[in-house]
Amino acid sequence: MSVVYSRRLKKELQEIQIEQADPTKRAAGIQLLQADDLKIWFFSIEVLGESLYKNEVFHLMVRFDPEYPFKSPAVQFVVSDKVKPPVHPHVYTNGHICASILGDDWSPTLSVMAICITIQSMLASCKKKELPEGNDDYVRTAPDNPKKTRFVYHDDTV
Amino acid sequence: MWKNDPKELLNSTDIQDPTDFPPSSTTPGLRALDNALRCKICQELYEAPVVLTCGHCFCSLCARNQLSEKPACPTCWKEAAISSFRVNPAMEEAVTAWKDARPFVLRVIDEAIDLRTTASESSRPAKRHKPDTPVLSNSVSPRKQSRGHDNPGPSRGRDGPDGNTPNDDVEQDTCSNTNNSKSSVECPVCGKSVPMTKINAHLDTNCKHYSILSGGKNASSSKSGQKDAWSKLLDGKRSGKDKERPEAEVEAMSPLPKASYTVLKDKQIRDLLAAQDLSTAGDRSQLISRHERWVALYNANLDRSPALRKRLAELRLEMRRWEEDRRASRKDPLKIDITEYRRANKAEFERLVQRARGKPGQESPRAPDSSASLSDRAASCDLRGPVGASGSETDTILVTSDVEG
Ligand SMILES: [Zn+2]
Ligand SMILES: [Zn+2]
Ligand SMILES: [Zn+2]
Repeated sequence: MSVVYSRRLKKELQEIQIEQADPTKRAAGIQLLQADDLKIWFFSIEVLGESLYKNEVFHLMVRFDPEYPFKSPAVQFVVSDKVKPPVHPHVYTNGHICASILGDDWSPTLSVMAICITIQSMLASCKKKELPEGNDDYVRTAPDNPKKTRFVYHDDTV
Repeated sequence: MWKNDPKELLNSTDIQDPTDFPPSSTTPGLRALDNALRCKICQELYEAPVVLTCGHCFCSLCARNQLSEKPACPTCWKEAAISSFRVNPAMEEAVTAWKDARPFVLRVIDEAIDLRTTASESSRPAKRHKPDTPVLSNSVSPRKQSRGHDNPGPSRGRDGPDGNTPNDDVEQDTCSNTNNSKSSVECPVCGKSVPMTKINAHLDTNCKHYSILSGGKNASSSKSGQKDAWSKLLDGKRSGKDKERPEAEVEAMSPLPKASYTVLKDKQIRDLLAAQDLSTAGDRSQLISRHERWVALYNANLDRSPALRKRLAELRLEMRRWEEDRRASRKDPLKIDITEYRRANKAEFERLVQRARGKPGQESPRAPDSSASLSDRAASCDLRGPVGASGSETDTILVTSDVEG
Protein backbone atom coordinates (compact mmCIF):
# COMPACT_ATOMS: atom_id res chain seq x y z
CA MET A 1 0.00 0.00 0.00
CA SER A 2 1.42 3.35 -0.84
CA VAL A 3 2.24 5.82 1.88
CA VAL A 4 -0.85 7.94 1.36
CA TYR A 5 -3.24 5.04 1.56
CA SER A 6 -1.48 3.45 4.53
CA ARG A 7 -2.01 6.75 6.25
CA ARG A 8 -5.65 6.65 5.39
CA LEU A 9 -6.02 3.18 6.89
CA LYS A 10 -4.13 4.25 9.96
CA LYS A 11 -6.59 7.13 10.30
CA GLU A 12 -9.48 4.71 10.13
CA LEU A 13 -7.89 2.65 12.87
CA GLN A 14 -7.29 5.69 15.02
CA GLU A 15 -10.87 6.80 14.58
CA ILE A 16 -12.18 3.37 15.51
CA GLN A 17 -10.00 3.30 18.62
CA ILE A 18 -11.19 6.73 19.66
CA GLU A 19 -14.81 5.79 19.10
CA GLN A 20 -14.42 2.58 21.07
CA ALA A 21 -13.17 4.54 24.01
CA ASP A 22 -16.25 6.76 23.95
CA PRO A 23 -19.55 5.00 24.61
CA THR A 24 -21.57 7.85 23.10
CA LYS A 25 -19.87 7.43 19.73
CA ARG A 26 -19.35 3.71 19.63
CA ALA A 27 -21.33 1.68 17.14
CA ALA A 28 -23.18 -0.54 19.56
CA GLY A 29 -22.38 -4.20 19.11
CA ILE A 30 -19.26 -3.69 16.99
CA GLN A 31 -15.89 -4.02 18.63
CA LEU A 32 -12.36 -4.07 17.35
CA LEU A 33 -10.67 -7.18 18.71
CA GLN A 34 -7.30 -7.02 17.07
CA ALA A 35 -5.40 -4.79 14.68
CA ASP A 36 -1.69 -5.38 15.02
CA ASP A 37 -0.87 -4.09 11.60
CA LEU A 38 -2.45 -2.72 8.47
CA LYS A 39 -3.01 -6.11 6.88
CA ILE A 40 -5.59 -7.86 8.97
CA TRP A 41 -8.10 -6.77 11.57
CA PHE A 42 -10.66 -8.68 13.61
CA PHE A 43 -13.97 -7.38 14.90
CA SER A 44 -16.70 -8.87 16.99
CA ILE A 45 -20.23 -8.23 15.84
CA GLU A 46 -23.47 -8.75 17.64
CA VAL A 47 -26.96 -7.51 16.97
CA LEU A 48 -28.33 -5.68 19.97
CA GLY A 49 -32.05 -5.55 20.50
CA GLU A 50 -34.64 -7.88 19.08
CA SER A 51 -33.40 -10.00 16.23
CA LEU A 52 -32.97 -13.58 15.16
CA TYR A 53 -29.38 -13.38 16.39
CA LYS A 54 -30.06 -12.38 19.96
CA ASN A 55 -27.23 -13.44 22.27
CA GLU A 56 -25.02 -14.50 19.40
CA VAL A 57 -21.55 -13.04 18.87
CA PHE A 58 -19.71 -13.33 15.57
CA HIS A 59 -16.18 -12.52 14.58
CA LEU A 60 -15.34 -10.75 11.38
CA MET A 61 -11.96 -10.99 9.69
CA VAL A 62 -10.95 -8.08 7.46
CA ARG A 63 -7.91 -8.43 5.21
CA PHE A 64 -6.54 -5.53 3.24
CA ASP A 65 -5.37 -5.61 -0.30
CA PRO A 66 -2.24 -3.58 -1.06
CA GLU A 67 -4.51 -1.61 -3.33
CA TYR A 68 -6.92 -0.64 -0.59
CA PRO A 69 -9.00 1.55 -0.72
CA PHE A 70 -9.37 1.12 -4.47
CA LYS A 71 -9.92 -2.57 -3.98
CA SER A 72 -12.30 -3.63 -1.22
CA PRO A 73 -10.92 -5.55 1.73
CA ALA A 74 -11.60 -9.30 1.92
CA VAL A 75 -14.19 -9.71 4.66
CA GLN A 76 -15.52 -12.94 6.10
CA PHE A 77 -16.84 -14.40 9.31
CA VAL A 78 -14.39 -16.40 11.37
CA VAL A 79 -15.12 -20.12 11.61
CA SER A 80 -13.47 -21.86 14.54
CA ASP A 81 -14.30 -24.06 17.51
CA LYS A 82 -15.36 -21.03 19.47
CA VAL A 83 -17.05 -18.82 16.93
CA LYS A 84 -19.36 -19.82 14.13
CA PRO A 85 -20.66 -17.72 11.30
CA PRO A 86 -24.33 -16.66 11.51
CA VAL A 87 -26.93 -18.77 9.78
CA HIS A 88 -28.09 -16.28 7.20
CA PRO A 89 -29.17 -16.47 3.54
CA HIS A 90 -26.12 -14.43 2.52
CA VAL A 91 -23.53 -16.14 4.69
CA TYR A 92 -21.94 -19.44 3.73
CA THR A 93 -20.85 -21.91 6.35
CA ASN A 94 -17.21 -21.24 5.49
CA GLY A 95 -17.73 -17.65 6.60
CA HIS A 96 -17.92 -16.08 3.16
CA ILE A 97 -20.42 -13.29 2.81
CA CYS A 98 -22.39 -12.29 -0.22
CA ALA A 99 -22.86 -8.53 0.10
CA SER A 100 -22.52 -6.11 -2.74
CA ILE A 101 -20.67 -3.58 -0.60
CA LEU A 102 -17.80 -6.07 -0.55
CA GLY A 103 -17.81 -6.30 -4.33
CA ASP A 104 -19.46 -4.20 -7.00
CA ASP A 105 -20.74 -1.53 -4.64
CA TRP A 106 -17.48 -0.98 -2.81
CA SER A 107 -16.28 2.60 -3.10
CA PRO A 108 -12.96 4.00 -1.90
CA THR A 109 -14.93 6.66 -0.06
CA LEU A 110 -16.35 3.97 2.25
CA SER A 111 -14.57 2.60 5.28
CA VAL A 112 -14.09 -0.57 7.26
CA MET A 113 -16.60 0.67 9.83
CA ALA A 114 -19.17 1.19 7.06
CA ILE A 115 -18.71 -2.47 6.15
CA CYS A 116 -19.15 -3.61 9.74
CA ILE A 117 -22.32 -1.56 10.15
CA THR A 118 -23.71 -2.83 6.86
CA ILE A 119 -23.10 -6.42 7.85
CA GLN A 120 -24.59 -5.82 11.26
CA SER A 121 -27.76 -4.40 9.74
CA MET A 122 -27.85 -7.24 7.24
CA LEU A 123 -28.14 -9.53 10.26
CA ALA A 124 -30.55 -7.26 12.11
CA SER A 125 -33.01 -7.19 9.21
CA CYS A 126 -32.96 -10.94 8.60
CA LYS A 127 -36.44 -12.53 8.63
CA LYS A 128 -35.52 -16.15 8.44
CA LYS A 129 -32.45 -18.07 9.52
CA GLU A 130 -31.47 -20.24 6.62
CA LEU A 131 -28.37 -21.13 4.70
CA PRO A 132 -27.79 -19.74 1.24
CA GLU A 133 -28.97 -21.86 -1.62
CA GLY A 134 -26.21 -24.12 -2.83
CA ASN A 135 -24.18 -23.69 0.32
CA ASP A 136 -22.66 -27.15 0.28
CA ASP A 137 -21.57 -26.95 -3.34
CA TYR A 138 -20.08 -23.56 -2.79
CA VAL A 139 -18.21 -24.44 0.35
CA ARG A 140 -16.76 -27.55 -1.29
CA THR A 141 -15.26 -25.57 -4.16
CA ALA A 142 -14.80 -22.10 -2.72
CA PRO A 143 -11.43 -20.39 -2.83
CA ASP A 144 -10.01 -19.42 0.53
CA ASN A 145 -10.15 -15.79 -0.35
CA PRO A 146 -13.78 -14.75 -0.85
CA LYS A 147 -12.66 -12.04 -3.21
CA LYS A 148 -11.91 -14.75 -5.74
CA THR A 149 -15.60 -15.56 -5.87
CA ARG A 150 -17.74 -13.65 -8.26
CA PHE A 151 -21.05 -13.20 -6.50
CA VAL A 152 -24.09 -12.03 -8.40
CA TYR A 153 -26.31 -9.70 -6.41
CA HIS A 154 -30.04 -9.20 -6.59
CA ASP A 155 -32.16 -6.65 -4.86
CA ASP A 156 -33.03 -7.86 -1.46
CA THR A 157 -36.63 -8.98 -1.59
CA VAL A 158 -36.53 -11.32 1.39
CA MET B 1 13.60 7.31 3.12
CA TRP B 2 10.20 6.04 4.07
CA LYS B 3 9.75 2.37 4.74
CA ASN B 4 6.29 0.99 4.73
CA ASP B 5 6.62 -0.50 8.14
CA PRO B 6 3.25 -0.92 9.82
CA LYS B 7 4.71 -0.78 13.31
CA GLU B 8 6.31 2.53 12.54
CA LEU B 9 3.17 3.75 10.94
CA LEU B 10 1.01 2.72 13.86
CA ASN B 11 3.24 4.71 16.15
CA SER B 12 3.49 7.74 13.94
CA THR B 13 1.95 10.94 15.15
CA ASP B 14 1.82 12.88 11.92
CA ILE B 15 -1.71 11.80 11.16
CA GLN B 16 -3.88 14.86 10.76
CA ASP B 17 -7.59 14.90 10.40
CA PRO B 18 -10.57 17.16 11.03
CA THR B 19 -10.92 15.97 14.62
CA ASP B 20 -7.74 17.87 15.41
CA PHE B 21 -10.21 20.73 15.76
CA PRO B 22 -12.73 21.00 18.57
CA PRO B 23 -16.39 20.31 17.76
CA SER B 24 -18.46 23.07 16.19
CA SER B 25 -19.94 24.00 19.54
CA THR B 26 -16.49 25.26 20.55
CA THR B 27 -15.03 26.44 17.24
CA PRO B 28 -17.84 26.76 14.69
CA GLY B 29 -17.00 25.59 11.21
CA LEU B 30 -13.35 24.67 11.61
CA ARG B 31 -13.78 20.93 11.67
CA ALA B 32 -16.13 21.14 8.70
CA LEU B 33 -13.71 23.40 6.88
CA ASP B 34 -10.83 21.01 7.37
CA ASN B 35 -13.04 18.20 6.17
CA ALA B 36 -14.19 20.14 3.12
CA LEU B 37 -10.62 20.62 1.97
CA ARG B 38 -9.90 16.90 2.09
CA CYS B 39 -10.17 14.31 -0.65
CA LYS B 40 -12.80 11.71 0.20
CA ILE B 41 -10.57 8.94 -1.12
CA CYS B 42 -7.23 9.51 0.61
CA GLN B 43 -8.55 11.78 3.41
CA GLU B 44 -5.62 14.13 2.88
CA LEU B 45 -5.80 17.78 1.94
CA TYR B 46 -6.34 17.87 -1.82
CA GLU B 47 -3.29 17.35 -4.00
CA ALA B 48 -3.79 18.54 -7.58
CA PRO B 49 -7.58 18.64 -7.19
CA VAL B 50 -9.72 17.83 -10.20
CA VAL B 51 -13.48 17.97 -10.67
CA LEU B 52 -15.42 15.19 -12.37
CA THR B 53 -18.43 15.90 -14.57
CA CYS B 54 -20.74 15.25 -11.62
CA GLY B 55 -19.02 18.07 -9.72
CA HIS B 56 -17.28 15.94 -7.09
CA CYS B 57 -13.68 16.78 -6.43
CA PHE B 58 -10.71 14.44 -5.74
CA CYS B 59 -6.96 14.47 -5.93
CA SER B 60 -6.01 13.88 -9.52
CA LEU B 61 -4.01 10.77 -8.67
CA CYS B 62 -6.76 9.36 -6.42
CA ALA B 63 -9.33 9.90 -9.17
CA ARG B 64 -7.05 8.29 -11.74
CA ASN B 65 -6.50 5.27 -9.53
CA GLN B 66 -10.22 4.93 -8.98
CA LEU B 67 -11.19 5.31 -12.63
CA SER B 68 -8.82 2.55 -13.62
CA GLU B 69 -10.96 0.31 -11.40
CA LYS B 70 -14.32 1.60 -12.50
CA PRO B 71 -15.27 4.55 -14.76
CA ALA B 72 -17.56 6.21 -12.24
CA CYS B 73 -17.44 8.78 -9.49
CA PRO B 74 -16.85 6.94 -6.19
CA THR B 75 -19.26 9.26 -4.39
CA CYS B 76 -22.30 9.35 -6.67
CA TRP B 77 -21.47 6.66 -9.28
CA LYS B 78 -22.14 9.00 -12.17
CA GLU B 79 -20.08 8.19 -15.20
CA ALA B 80 -16.60 9.73 -15.18
CA ALA B 81 -13.55 9.75 -17.39
CA ILE B 82 -10.04 11.08 -17.12
CA SER B 83 -10.51 12.92 -20.39
CA SER B 84 -13.21 15.07 -18.81
CA PHE B 85 -11.29 16.05 -15.67
CA ARG B 86 -11.33 19.76 -14.97
CA VAL B 87 -8.50 21.13 -12.88
CA ASN B 88 -9.58 23.07 -9.82
CA PRO B 89 -7.07 25.84 -9.13
CA ALA B 90 -9.46 27.60 -6.76
CA MET B 91 -9.54 24.58 -4.48
CA GLU B 92 -5.80 24.22 -4.80
CA GLU B 93 -5.35 27.81 -3.70
CA ALA B 94 -7.62 27.32 -0.72
CA VAL B 95 -5.70 24.20 0.32
CA THR B 96 -2.36 25.94 -0.02
CA ALA B 97 -3.54 28.76 2.21
CA TRP B 98 -5.08 26.33 4.70
CA LYS B 99 -1.84 24.36 4.96
CA ASP B 100 -0.20 27.58 6.08
CA ALA B 101 -3.00 28.58 8.39
CA ARG B 102 -3.79 25.20 9.93
CA PRO B 103 -0.95 24.87 12.47
CA PHE B 104 -1.43 28.47 13.41
CA VAL B 105 -5.17 28.13 13.92
CA LEU B 106 -4.63 25.04 16.04
CA ARG B 107 -2.16 26.91 18.17
CA VAL B 108 -4.46 29.86 18.64
CA ILE B 109 -7.25 27.54 19.69
CA ASP B 110 -4.97 25.86 22.21
CA GLU B 111 -3.99 29.20 23.51
CA ALA B 112 -7.52 30.48 23.80
CA ILE B 113 -8.57 27.37 25.67
CA ASP B 114 -5.55 27.63 27.95
CA LEU B 115 -6.38 31.20 28.68
CA ARG B 116 -9.99 30.55 29.32
CA THR B 117 -9.11 27.93 31.89
CA THR B 118 -6.39 29.95 33.59
CA ALA B 119 -7.86 33.43 33.30
CA SER B 120 -9.77 33.19 36.52
CA GLU B 121 -6.85 32.00 38.67
CA SER B 122 -4.07 34.37 37.74
CA SER B 123 -2.75 36.47 34.95
CA ARG B 124 0.31 34.41 34.16
CA PRO B 125 1.34 34.48 30.55
CA ALA B 126 0.38 31.55 28.42
CA LYS B 127 3.07 28.95 28.10
CA ARG B 128 4.95 27.91 25.00
CA HIS B 129 3.78 30.69 22.71
CA LYS B 130 5.46 33.76 21.45
CA PRO B 131 3.84 36.75 23.14
CA ASP B 132 3.10 38.68 19.98
CA THR B 133 1.18 35.94 18.28
CA PRO B 134 -2.26 37.20 17.41
CA VAL B 135 -4.92 35.67 19.56
CA LEU B 136 -8.65 35.73 19.71
CA SER B 137 -9.08 39.24 20.99
CA ASN B 138 -11.73 38.61 23.59
CA SER B 139 -9.64 36.09 25.45
CA VAL B 140 -6.33 37.85 25.31
CA SER B 141 -6.43 40.25 28.23
CA PRO B 142 -4.53 38.19 30.81
CA ARG B 143 -1.36 38.12 28.76
CA LYS B 144 -0.99 41.81 28.01
CA GLN B 145 1.40 42.27 30.85
CA SER B 146 3.86 39.75 29.52
CA ARG B 147 4.79 42.16 26.81
CA GLY B 148 6.75 45.44 26.78
CA HIS B 149 5.21 48.86 26.43
CA ASP B 150 5.76 48.94 22.72
CA ASN B 151 3.17 46.29 22.24
CA PRO B 152 0.45 47.73 20.07
CA GLY B 153 -1.96 45.37 21.77
CA PRO B 154 -3.80 42.28 20.78
CA SER B 155 -6.27 43.94 18.49
CA ARG B 156 -3.51 44.30 15.94
CA GLY B 157 -3.23 40.64 15.31
CA ARG B 158 -6.70 40.00 14.22
CA ASP B 159 -7.36 42.82 11.86
CA GLY B 160 -3.90 44.13 11.19
CA PRO B 161 -2.01 43.59 7.97
CA ASP B 162 0.86 41.52 9.27
CA GLY B 163 -0.43 38.09 8.45
CA ASN B 164 3.13 36.86 8.22
CA THR B 165 4.02 36.86 11.85
CA PRO B 166 2.59 33.45 12.65
CA ASN B 167 4.33 31.88 9.69
CA ASP B 168 7.71 33.16 10.64
CA ASP B 169 7.06 31.80 14.03
CA VAL B 170 6.28 28.32 12.77
CA GLU B 171 9.27 28.22 10.52
CA GLN B 172 11.58 29.11 13.34
CA ASP B 173 10.23 26.19 15.26
CA THR B 174 10.64 23.60 12.57
CA CYS B 175 13.63 24.69 10.56
CA SER B 176 16.12 25.63 13.21
CA ASN B 177 18.40 22.68 12.61
CA THR B 178 18.48 22.45 8.86
CA ASN B 179 21.63 24.46 8.44
CA ASN B 180 24.14 21.93 9.64
CA SER B 181 23.90 19.76 6.55
CA LYS B 182 24.62 22.02 3.67
CA SER B 183 27.30 20.89 1.33
CA SER B 184 26.16 17.55 -0.04
CA VAL B 185 23.48 14.91 0.14
CA GLU B 186 23.42 11.24 -0.60
CA CYS B 187 21.42 10.63 -3.76
CA PRO B 188 18.45 8.44 -2.81
CA VAL B 189 18.60 6.71 -6.19
CA CYS B 190 22.27 5.87 -6.77
CA GLY B 191 23.65 6.52 -3.30
CA LYS B 192 26.46 8.75 -4.49
CA SER B 193 27.33 11.95 -2.76
CA VAL B 194 26.10 14.98 -4.67
CA PRO B 195 26.41 18.70 -3.94
CA MET B 196 23.09 19.90 -2.68
CA THR B 197 22.91 22.61 -5.28
CA LYS B 198 23.29 20.03 -8.00
CA ILE B 199 21.09 17.23 -6.77
CA ASN B 200 18.11 18.10 -8.92
CA ALA B 201 20.27 18.34 -11.99
CA HIS B 202 21.86 15.04 -10.97
CA LEU B 203 18.50 13.31 -10.73
CA ASP B 204 17.33 14.87 -13.95
CA THR B 205 20.26 13.27 -15.75
CA ASN B 206 19.39 9.89 -14.21
CA CYS B 207 22.42 9.99 -11.94
CA LYS B 208 24.89 10.39 -14.77
CA HIS B 209 26.39 13.72 -13.75
CA TYR B 210 27.40 15.88 -10.82
CA SER B 211 28.26 13.23 -8.29
CA ILE B 212 31.24 13.89 -6.04
CA LEU B 213 34.12 11.47 -6.00
CA SER B 214 34.40 12.10 -2.32
CA GLY B 215 37.13 10.36 -0.43
CA GLY B 216 35.15 8.06 1.80
CA LYS B 217 32.10 8.90 3.81
CA ASN B 218 30.92 12.42 4.09
CA ALA B 219 30.97 13.31 7.72
CA SER B 220 27.94 15.53 7.51
CA SER B 221 25.64 12.90 6.06
CA SER B 222 23.92 11.84 9.21
CA LYS B 223 20.49 10.37 8.66
CA SER B 224 18.59 13.27 10.10
CA GLY B 225 20.74 15.75 8.29
CA GLN B 226 19.91 13.96 5.08
CA LYS B 227 16.26 14.08 5.75
CA ASP B 228 16.33 17.76 6.51
CA ALA B 229 18.34 18.45 3.43
CA TRP B 230 15.83 16.59 1.35
CA SER B 231 12.79 18.17 2.81
CA LYS B 232 14.39 21.57 2.45
CA LEU B 233 15.16 20.83 -1.13
CA LEU B 234 11.73 19.54 -1.97
CA ASP B 235 9.71 21.97 0.10
CA GLY B 236 11.59 24.96 -1.15
CA LYS B 237 10.77 24.01 -4.64
CA ARG B 238 7.17 23.25 -3.99
CA SER B 239 6.49 26.63 -2.54
CA GLY B 240 7.76 28.13 -5.76
CA LYS B 241 10.82 29.77 -4.27
CA ASP B 242 13.28 27.83 -6.39
CA LYS B 243 14.63 30.17 -8.98
CA GLU B 244 16.89 27.50 -10.39
CA ARG B 245 14.05 25.52 -11.79
CA PRO B 246 14.81 25.03 -15.44
CA GLU B 247 12.20 26.74 -17.58
CA ALA B 248 12.67 24.12 -20.24
CA GLU B 249 11.42 21.39 -17.95
CA VAL B 250 8.22 23.22 -17.14
CA GLU B 251 7.49 23.97 -20.74
CA ALA B 252 8.34 20.52 -21.95
CA MET B 253 5.67 18.98 -19.74
CA SER B 254 2.59 17.96 -21.62
CA PRO B 255 0.37 15.03 -20.74
CA LEU B 256 1.55 11.58 -21.72
CA PRO B 257 -0.87 9.77 -24.03
CA LYS B 258 -2.60 6.70 -22.72
CA ALA B 259 -1.28 3.53 -24.31
CA SER B 260 -3.58 0.73 -25.43
CA TYR B 261 -1.52 -2.10 -24.11
CA THR B 262 -3.64 -4.86 -25.58
CA VAL B 263 -2.40 -4.07 -29.07
CA LEU B 264 1.22 -3.57 -28.01
CA LYS B 265 3.89 -6.23 -27.99
CA ASP B 266 6.16 -6.58 -24.96
CA LYS B 267 8.99 -5.00 -26.92
CA GLN B 268 6.87 -1.94 -27.71
CA ILE B 269 5.93 -1.50 -24.07
CA ARG B 270 9.60 -1.72 -23.14
CA ASP B 271 10.29 0.98 -25.70
CA LEU B 272 7.65 3.18 -24.12
CA LEU B 273 9.27 2.69 -20.73
CA ALA B 274 12.75 3.29 -22.07
CA ALA B 275 11.58 6.52 -23.67
CA GLN B 276 10.67 7.69 -20.17
CA ASP B 277 13.94 6.43 -18.67
CA LEU B 278 12.09 3.80 -16.69
CA SER B 279 13.15 0.26 -15.93
CA THR B 280 12.30 -2.33 -18.57
CA ALA B 281 12.67 -5.29 -16.24
CA GLY B 282 9.90 -7.70 -15.36
CA ASP B 283 7.11 -9.58 -17.08
CA ARG B 284 4.41 -8.11 -19.24
CA SER B 285 1.99 -7.30 -16.42
CA GLN B 286 4.74 -5.58 -14.48
CA LEU B 287 5.74 -3.57 -17.52
CA ILE B 288 2.16 -2.47 -18.07
CA SER B 289 1.47 -1.50 -14.50
CA ARG B 290 4.76 0.37 -14.32
CA HIS B 291 3.91 2.37 -17.41
CA GLU B 292 0.32 2.99 -16.26
CA ARG B 293 1.59 4.19 -12.94
CA TRP B 294 4.08 6.54 -14.51
CA VAL B 295 1.47 8.02 -16.85
CA ALA B 296 -0.87 8.57 -13.90
CA LEU B 297 1.82 10.18 -11.73
CA TYR B 298 3.08 12.31 -14.56
CA ASN B 299 -0.30 13.53 -15.74
CA ALA B 300 -1.64 14.05 -12.23
CA ASN B 301 1.32 16.32 -11.59
CA LEU B 302 0.26 18.43 -14.56
CA ASP B 303 -3.10 18.98 -12.89
CA ARG B 304 -1.34 21.19 -10.34
CA SER B 305 -0.86 24.81 -11.14
CA PRO B 306 2.61 25.31 -12.65
CA ALA B 307 4.16 26.85 -9.56
CA LEU B 308 3.22 23.83 -7.46
CA ARG B 309 4.31 21.12 -9.87
CA LYS B 310 6.83 18.59 -8.74
CA ARG B 311 10.01 18.10 -10.66
CA LEU B 312 10.64 15.07 -12.76
CA ALA B 313 13.23 14.01 -10.21
CA GLU B 314 10.61 13.92 -7.49
CA LEU B 315 8.24 11.91 -9.61
CA ARG B 316 11.01 9.42 -10.26
CA LEU B 317 11.53 9.11 -6.54
CA GLU B 318 7.84 8.44 -6.02
CA MET B 319 7.94 5.90 -8.78
CA ARG B 320 10.83 4.18 -7.09
CA ARG B 321 9.02 4.05 -3.78
CA TRP B 322 5.99 2.61 -5.49
CA GLU B 323 8.10 -0.16 -7.02
CA GLU B 324 9.58 -0.95 -3.63
CA ASP B 325 6.15 -1.17 -2.03
CA ARG B 326 4.99 -3.49 -4.74
CA ARG B 327 8.00 -5.69 -4.42
CA ALA B 328 7.56 -5.82 -0.67
CA SER B 329 3.91 -6.81 -0.83
CA ARG B 330 4.63 -9.50 -3.42
CA LYS B 331 7.46 -10.97 -1.45
CA ASP B 332 5.64 -10.89 1.83
CA PRO B 333 2.23 -12.46 1.43
CA LEU B 334 0.25 -12.35 4.59
CA LYS B 335 0.01 -15.54 6.53
CA ILE B 336 -2.65 -15.51 9.15
CA ASP B 337 -2.08 -17.15 12.43
CA ILE B 338 -5.61 -17.81 13.51
CA THR B 339 -4.44 -19.70 16.59
CA GLU B 340 -2.65 -16.66 17.86
CA TYR B 341 -5.69 -14.51 17.34
CA ARG B 342 -7.92 -17.03 19.07
CA ARG B 343 -5.71 -17.24 22.11
CA ALA B 344 -5.42 -13.49 22.32
CA ASN B 345 -9.14 -13.08 22.17
CA LYS B 346 -10.37 -15.93 24.28
CA ALA B 347 -11.02 -13.76 27.30
CA GLU B 348 -12.53 -10.99 25.28
CA PHE B 349 -14.74 -13.42 23.47
CA GLU B 350 -16.05 -14.97 26.64
CA ARG B 351 -16.73 -11.56 28.06
CA LEU B 352 -18.75 -10.65 25.00
CA VAL B 353 -20.77 -13.81 25.15
CA GLN B 354 -21.37 -13.18 28.82
CA ARG B 355 -22.54 -9.69 28.13
CA ALA B 356 -24.76 -10.70 25.28
CA ARG B 357 -26.45 -13.26 27.50
CA GLY B 358 -26.49 -11.01 30.53
CA LYS B 359 -28.48 -8.14 29.16
CA PRO B 360 -30.92 -9.21 26.52
CA GLY B 361 -31.56 -6.43 24.06
CA GLN B 362 -32.40 -3.22 25.80
CA GLU B 363 -30.55 -1.23 23.21
CA SER B 364 -31.88 -0.98 19.73
CA PRO B 365 -29.46 -1.70 16.94
CA ARG B 366 -27.78 1.42 15.70
CA ALA B 367 -29.12 2.35 12.31
CA PRO B 368 -27.84 5.69 11.14
CA ASP B 369 -29.07 6.96 7.79
CA SER B 370 -25.88 6.11 6.04
CA SER B 371 -25.88 2.54 7.15
CA ALA B 372 -29.54 2.09 6.34
CA SER B 373 -28.93 3.01 2.76
CA LEU B 374 -25.87 0.83 2.70
CA SER B 375 -27.73 -2.14 3.99
CA ASP B 376 -30.15 -1.84 1.14
CA ARG B 377 -27.24 -2.67 -1.04
CA ALA B 378 -26.33 -5.83 0.76
CA ALA B 379 -28.16 -8.13 -1.50
CA SER B 380 -28.99 -11.74 -2.01
CA CYS B 381 -26.92 -13.64 -4.41
CA ASP B 382 -26.38 -16.31 -6.94
CA LEU B 383 -23.07 -17.97 -7.36
CA ARG B 384 -21.09 -18.02 -10.48
CA GLY B 385 -18.28 -20.00 -8.99
CA PRO B 386 -14.78 -18.88 -8.19
CA VAL B 387 -13.09 -16.41 -10.48
CA GLY B 388 -9.71 -17.37 -11.82
CA ALA B 389 -9.69 -20.45 -9.67
CA SER B 390 -7.60 -22.24 -12.26
CA GLY B 391 -4.05 -22.58 -11.06
CA SER B 392 -4.84 -20.98 -7.75
CA GLU B 393 -2.09 -21.97 -5.40
CA THR B 394 -4.31 -23.63 -2.78
CA ASP B 395 -3.62 -20.68 -0.56
CA THR B 396 -4.11 -21.45 3.09
CA ILE B 397 -5.47 -18.00 3.73
CA LEU B 398 -2.83 -16.08 1.96
CA VAL B 399 -3.23 -12.54 0.88
CA THR B 400 -1.08 -11.63 -2.03
CA SER B 401 -0.98 -8.42 -3.92
CA ASP B 402 -2.55 -9.96 -6.98
CA VAL B 403 -5.97 -11.14 -6.03
CA GLU B 404 -6.90 -11.59 -9.65
CA GLY B 405 -3.89 -13.87 -10.17
ZN1 LIG C 1 -6.85 12.08 -2.57
ZN1 LIG D 1 -19.86 12.39 -8.17
ZN1 LIG E 1 21.79 9.57 -8.10
